[in-house]
Amino acid sequence: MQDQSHEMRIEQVDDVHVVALSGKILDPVCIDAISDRLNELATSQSCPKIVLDFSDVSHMSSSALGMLTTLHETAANHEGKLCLCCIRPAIAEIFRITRLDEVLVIQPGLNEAISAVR
Amino acid sequence: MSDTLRSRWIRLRDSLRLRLVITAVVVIVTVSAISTFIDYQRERATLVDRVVTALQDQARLLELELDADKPREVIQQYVRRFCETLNAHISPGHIILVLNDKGRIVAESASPQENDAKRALIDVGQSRSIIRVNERDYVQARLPVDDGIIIVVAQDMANVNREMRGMLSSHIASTIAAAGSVMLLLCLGMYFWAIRPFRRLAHAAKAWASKDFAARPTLPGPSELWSLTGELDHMAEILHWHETHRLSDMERARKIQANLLPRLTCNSHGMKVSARYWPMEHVAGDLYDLFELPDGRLVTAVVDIAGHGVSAALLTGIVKMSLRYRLEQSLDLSVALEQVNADLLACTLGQKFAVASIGIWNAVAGTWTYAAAGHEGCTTIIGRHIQHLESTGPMLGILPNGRWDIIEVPLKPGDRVFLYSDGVTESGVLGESQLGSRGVGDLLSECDSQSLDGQVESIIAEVERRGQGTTTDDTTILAFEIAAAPSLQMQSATA
Repeated sequence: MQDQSHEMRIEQVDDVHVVALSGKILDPVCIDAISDRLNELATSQSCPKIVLDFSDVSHMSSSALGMLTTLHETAANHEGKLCLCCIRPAIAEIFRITRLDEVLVIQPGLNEAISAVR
Repeated sequence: MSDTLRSRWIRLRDSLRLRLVITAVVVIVTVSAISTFIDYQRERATLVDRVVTALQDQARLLELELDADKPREVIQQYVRRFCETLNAHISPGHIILVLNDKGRIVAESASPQENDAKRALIDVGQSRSIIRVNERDYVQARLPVDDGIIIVVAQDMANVNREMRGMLSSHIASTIAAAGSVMLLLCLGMYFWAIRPFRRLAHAAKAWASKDFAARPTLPGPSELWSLTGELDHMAEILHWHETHRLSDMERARKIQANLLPRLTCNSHGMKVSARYWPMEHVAGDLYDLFELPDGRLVTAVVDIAGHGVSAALLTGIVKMSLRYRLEQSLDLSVALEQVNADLLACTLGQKFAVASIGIWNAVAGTWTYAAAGHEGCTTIIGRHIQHLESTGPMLGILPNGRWDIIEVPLKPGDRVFLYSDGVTESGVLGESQLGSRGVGDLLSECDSQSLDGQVESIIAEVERRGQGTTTDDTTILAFEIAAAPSLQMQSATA
């Protein structure tokens, strides 16, 4: 199953939704659209397992952090798991500064991230 | 083909003008071709009838001179002379045969080259008025006379066909002229009744897209477009009304938010202060504050609510009030941040967060106590040494049990501190390279001989340059310098 819209591509690996984000996540309208799609994914089933692949994300605004924390909370409320992976150093710096790396589960590679949510 | 030419071709290919012209050309050419073909056939039939009638008249003239009692040679000679006369004075290509009741030739005018035509005329009888022999058409008229004698007068159609081609050519020319005229009229009609009104509509739509809702298309086209214009005008009026009210509301909100900014004029604490506040829209998610605590210390703060616009601006007031109240109550930055965090969580339920750089200047001790929530928006110039202060805790409004470390920085006269929002550090993000806190440090280093205001202006100018005159985020800077003499002059400006 593959769904491509906005700045994201969703693939299903067994029971894990692997969401590949791409480009520059800057525009508030775009962030809202991605947020809606991800929240739909997190609430459409119990115990959702979501991996966000950041390998193609070159820039990200601070507004996108709100989307991630909301998604993290939504997934947790549905007894699900969320894991971020393949984050470029410049974006990893944002997570470090904001201390979101202490809240969100972050793995270096995709396989580790899939294993982390299983 | 260059991209410009290709895009122009695609625009022309998909244009209403080209489609209508092609449709009109196809319709006109088809109708003209059918009409020309029908006219040609009808005129040819008329011409053939005329020729047959003429040939019958000639046969009757011949009949008057035929006499069964005359010798065959005399009849033969007469027929030839008669045919030569016709060829010479009427039109060439006549063949005359006189057949007896058994279909045999009594007299003829045909030359040996016309033997095939002669045989065909005998064989075909009177079943067809036009016969084709060796790629040539012949028209024939038959006149039965006494004693079973039949006079056959035929004429080569070459002349008739030539005449028909001439007629056809003139017909086609007049059809092309008529089609051209129709096309021209059609193009003019399309331009005045369709293309020009649509262009005006497009211009009006562009104006509406740039929020000029006063623009009206005023279409001079057909009545079908008037109703569309009426609906669009109505829509534009509604949008204009809403936009006017929205702008009015936003202007009121901007004034309210501007009033949230400090208007402190203070001559104590030994500080010079400079601030710039550049909202992306009418209202901003940024906030700076400067206020005195009950114990005499001075609080400097830059807060940035995630996002911008109305939703972020709503929270700036809450954060400002919460920060002031909590600090005045506790007099402890770490405790106050925990309480502000709890207040924000209660308001937003974790859906919205804020980053902040907050410091407290103690003029008596000469120390500056600092904490940053999820933000590296502080650069100090101590002596000539530039230093970036890191985040000391998570963002506000995310974690229920967040903790913020406190940094204490001793400051001396001449030392400067710059607090700024991510509108500064993230400027130029669309141009691939962000300014970043290192970029701020480099910039401050380059203009270290400038006044505090000059350095703040340099940062703003760099942000403006990177954004090509606009900003993609709210931008706020609050800077202060420890003055040699204890005086505080608050200078604030809103870009």
